[in-house]
Amino acid sequence: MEFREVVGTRRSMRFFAPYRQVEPEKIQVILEAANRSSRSMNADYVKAVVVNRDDLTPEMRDSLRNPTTSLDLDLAPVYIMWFINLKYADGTKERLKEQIDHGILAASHGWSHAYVDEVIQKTVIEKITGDDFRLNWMGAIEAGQAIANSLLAAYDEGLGACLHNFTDTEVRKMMNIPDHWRRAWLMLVGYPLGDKADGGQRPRRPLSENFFTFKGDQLEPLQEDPAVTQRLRETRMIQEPSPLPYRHKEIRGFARMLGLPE
Amino acid sequence: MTTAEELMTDPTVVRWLRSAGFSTETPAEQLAQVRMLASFCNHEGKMPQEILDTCLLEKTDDGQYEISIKGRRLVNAAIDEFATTLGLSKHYEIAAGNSIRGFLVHNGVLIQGKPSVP
Repeated sequence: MEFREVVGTRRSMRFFAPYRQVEPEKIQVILEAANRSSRSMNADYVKAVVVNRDDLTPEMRDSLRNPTTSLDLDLAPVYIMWFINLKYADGTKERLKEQIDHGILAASHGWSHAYVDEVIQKTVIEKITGDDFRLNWMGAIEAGQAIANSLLAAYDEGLGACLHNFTDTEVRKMMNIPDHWRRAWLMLVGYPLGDKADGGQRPRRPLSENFFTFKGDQLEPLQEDPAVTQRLRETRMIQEPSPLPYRHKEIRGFARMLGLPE
Repeated sequence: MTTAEELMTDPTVVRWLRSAGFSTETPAEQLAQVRMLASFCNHEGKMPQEILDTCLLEKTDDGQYEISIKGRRLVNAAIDEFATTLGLSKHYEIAAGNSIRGFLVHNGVLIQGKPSVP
């Protein structure tokens, strides 16, 4: 699938074919996409645990549930538990020097081994690790980038996915999850129960509501170029909006197929 | 004792039928949906609003309810127990329970079902 169509096709899918397993190679693609994400200090901000739903005991599956994440756990065949690695700053100096050696961070931009060895510990690393808010804020932003990449990869592989909150008290004990892995999201992965349109592209506000340019001395809402918008429709970054005309009947069909409330 | 016919004008039932899209179906179809709820109400000795009250805590000052987790679990279990008394096959037993859960859902009680995977 072309990039624009992948972006346009991604949506939070909640109806998975519960009987259809996901091939392990597709999970590897999803994880590699996370591994290729943008990240400051070339640090590892996420940890993930992949679990096949059917490998969990009913009690373990129940322990993950919360009011809004329940049915989804029964439908999705694969769970990827994402955690923020709060020790992401460990090894920063070595990684930065590696990037200097690779010509990624260059002297033209002020980078040197001396700067890394003698300055960066106090001016950057300790500022992050010594401030709980900053540590978590940066961890969450960077982990989010990895997770977003993996979501796109899932759709590129013809799968559906959705991020959920989850209760991790019991699984942490069972899996010996280290304390510095902070719960992020539970990504549920599977094949769509219906078609990949999944009811249509989700509603979004116009670009002008959230994106701005700086002109003169003020912010101005970004004005869309209709020709660009049209091109994005043609290349499927912008797709048929929800609700598709058959959506409510489709949901009723899903509910009856799976024995769920309507 | 209550009947489906009596419940058709109950505000909670009207709200359910409208929200679930059943209000556009024939009167006979709508009545069929409500019959299961009426049977459950009689089984529990409660009216629809009383069943909802078991699942919801008092309205707060801002007009919002809170969900009673304990109450919701009790009602969910009562629905399962009631469905087993109907003498139906498993498939129809699940559908009967879900009909009642639909009434709760469309009145603001977040209950997610358990799928019966084919």
